[in-house]
Amino acid sequence: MTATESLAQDAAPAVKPQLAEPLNYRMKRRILGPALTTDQLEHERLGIPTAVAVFSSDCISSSAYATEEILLVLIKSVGLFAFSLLVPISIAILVVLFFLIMSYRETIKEYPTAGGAYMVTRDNFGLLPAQVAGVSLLTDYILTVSVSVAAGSAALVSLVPRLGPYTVPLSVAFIALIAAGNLKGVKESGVAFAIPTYFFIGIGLLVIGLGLWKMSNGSLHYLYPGVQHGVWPKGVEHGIGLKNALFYGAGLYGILHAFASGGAAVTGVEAISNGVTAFRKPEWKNARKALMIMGVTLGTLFLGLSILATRVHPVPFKEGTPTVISQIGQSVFGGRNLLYGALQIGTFLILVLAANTSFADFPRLASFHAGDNFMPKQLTKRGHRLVFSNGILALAVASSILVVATGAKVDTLIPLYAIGVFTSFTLSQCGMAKHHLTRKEKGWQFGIVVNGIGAFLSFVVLLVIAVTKFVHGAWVIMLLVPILVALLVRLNRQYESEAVELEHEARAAAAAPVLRRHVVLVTVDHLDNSAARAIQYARTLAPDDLRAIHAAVDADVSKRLATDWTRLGLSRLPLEIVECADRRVERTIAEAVFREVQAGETEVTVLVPQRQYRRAWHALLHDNTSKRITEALATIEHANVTIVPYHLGTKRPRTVPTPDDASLSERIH
Amino acid sequence: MSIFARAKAATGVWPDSTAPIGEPTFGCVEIADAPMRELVRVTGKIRAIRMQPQAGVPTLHARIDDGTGELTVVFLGRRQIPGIEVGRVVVAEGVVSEARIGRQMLNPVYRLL
Repeated sequence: MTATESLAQDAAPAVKPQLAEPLNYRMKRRILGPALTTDQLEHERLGIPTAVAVFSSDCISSSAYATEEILLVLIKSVGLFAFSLLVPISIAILVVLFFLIMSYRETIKEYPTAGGAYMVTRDNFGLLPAQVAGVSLLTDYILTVSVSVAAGSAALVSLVPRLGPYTVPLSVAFIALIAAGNLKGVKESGVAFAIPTYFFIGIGLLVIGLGLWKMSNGSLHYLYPGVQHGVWPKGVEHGIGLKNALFYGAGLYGILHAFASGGAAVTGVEAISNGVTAFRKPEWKNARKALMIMGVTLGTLFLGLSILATRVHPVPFKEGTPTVISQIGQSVFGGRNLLYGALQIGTFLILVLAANTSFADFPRLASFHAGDNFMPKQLTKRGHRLVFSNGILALAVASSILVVATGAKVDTLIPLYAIGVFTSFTLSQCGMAKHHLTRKEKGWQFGIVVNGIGAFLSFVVLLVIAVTKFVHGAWVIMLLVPILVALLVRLNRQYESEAVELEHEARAAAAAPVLRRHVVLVTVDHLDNSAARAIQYARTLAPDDLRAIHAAVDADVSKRLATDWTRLGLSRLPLEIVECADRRVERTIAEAVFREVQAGETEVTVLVPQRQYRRAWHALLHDNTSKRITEALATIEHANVTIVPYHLGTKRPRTVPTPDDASLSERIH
Repeated sequence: MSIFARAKAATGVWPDSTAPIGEPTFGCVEIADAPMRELVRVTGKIRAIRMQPQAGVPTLHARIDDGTGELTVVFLGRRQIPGIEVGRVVVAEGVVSEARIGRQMLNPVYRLL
């Protein structure tokens, strides 16, 4: 038994005295473990090593496909000169990464209460721009899950080609698995995800180290020597400079497009700034350290792989497999051996788990939106294990749909990717710049320069992405984000108007004079024990008018009830039998109630006897008339429903009938 | 047969009928138009009955509906009247007065159709 379990059980006896838990809750406990108490929230904090694993797997994992995406675009537009342009483009992306990390260091320090782009933008520019920043990020989180899981499946398929036809079901299964892990809680998933992340970093560094060593002594070779030597022009072995490549006809557009595709590598940088509160104290210092570790790791892996690619000349295949990183690994390790397998498994694991970063961030960000009344309130609710369960489920569903719709193809998803992240980067960096300008805290000049450059660079990258990827799919996001923002604004208006209506003169309303009359109606079908319970309860009330009401669906039943009723002899309880020609009991009752409240001076209480069954399937044997009555009455103002439960299977039927009971017992026996 | 046609057929054999009250429904006025504090004859289908059990003041309420409006017919001193049941059509003659909800006719002369 772990500490958390014993804690939950110690607290248990005080909270639940003999009251049985419903079936679905018992199942939930079985699957997710005991509920975490709210004061355990504090303990679900992460140390730096775990935090790096939880928050940076997204960022670091992009090194697994960023090189490939650059090559894919470059080879299409400039052919084999792609390999000479690969390193410069990678360096350009790393420059962007560097400034983003510097900027986010500022953000983490200034906004240690988490929220990242959303909070920064809201603070400095107001709610509407914050929605844009937030929604862009949210769409990107969904894409992160889809892209990572699709790429992870591709890595697996590279290793085991036989799995090729099952890419989509595999991807969906991985999403479900990650979602389940996250529903169980942050800490456990953090530990589970730390191992693969560090495994990937380790094997990645091994590939690069070994590759660079082999490169320096000249033993690293082209993967496909026969194919490529023929088409290479003279002097290629010495490399072609950037200038020459341009001269050879690589359009600037192609290069920019490649840059935009590689920009995917930077996505995920914001993850830490969104989750500062998940760190152990002092939060912002730890978060900054984690951010630096993440940046250096990503930079090393990405640049290293790109350098190796210029030597290995991997080919990005149309089918997506075998992947570029797997080809590099094959070349470095000298074939499909054990180390190659380890690289593939590492890649696969980190990609699948990269999705986990989104699962940590999406629900939190969505809860901020919901907290500001821009998204459904359910997203603010912490579930059984203290995580935002609804956000996790929403993300799992959305990304699964995306994976299925695109057939789990990474290069179909990539053009949609990154545009949202850079939108939010731009907005949040501008926000930070404004923050420095207005607050003028210590060292604000440095901050404004860093965030200014960050904002400018993100904006430039955003433009490049928007232009070069527009026709390839970025238009979807550029269309979707404004639509979603409009939707959220509409939602917000609804919430606001509801709040205004609910709050308006609520105190005066509570103290206002009550309605003159109170009528209690007991709904009765026939005179059984559940009706008897309701009658007993009704007799404890003191209304102005009290009567039983029966909807006459079956003439015989009504007649028998009338006979039973005359024998009861309850002086204060008349029986009203109402015609129910269309057999809609709930409608008949509702009309009778409406008749009472119509004049506006009467408060009606309707007592609805409701049988409670011991087993879920018992309820299936009966129609739920009482529930339908309750629902129908909910639409009528001043109609108040009281459910009077009768628990079946708790008492033995009486065997000796009293005289009053005669007709009832006649029917039972 | 419409409710008024049935009433028309019935008025022919109305026991104490000397002259038909109101035209053109052969003695029956529409409930919606029934004047107050005047002897009128109405007809309608019984939509609901309310019965008082043993120990209370014996009364039997029947809400009748002729398609134009509703009226509660109240029989004082009676707990049950055979035939005054939900779904039956009656012709009732009496004086209409205000009730808490809608209008009522106390102790009418009635005929089951």
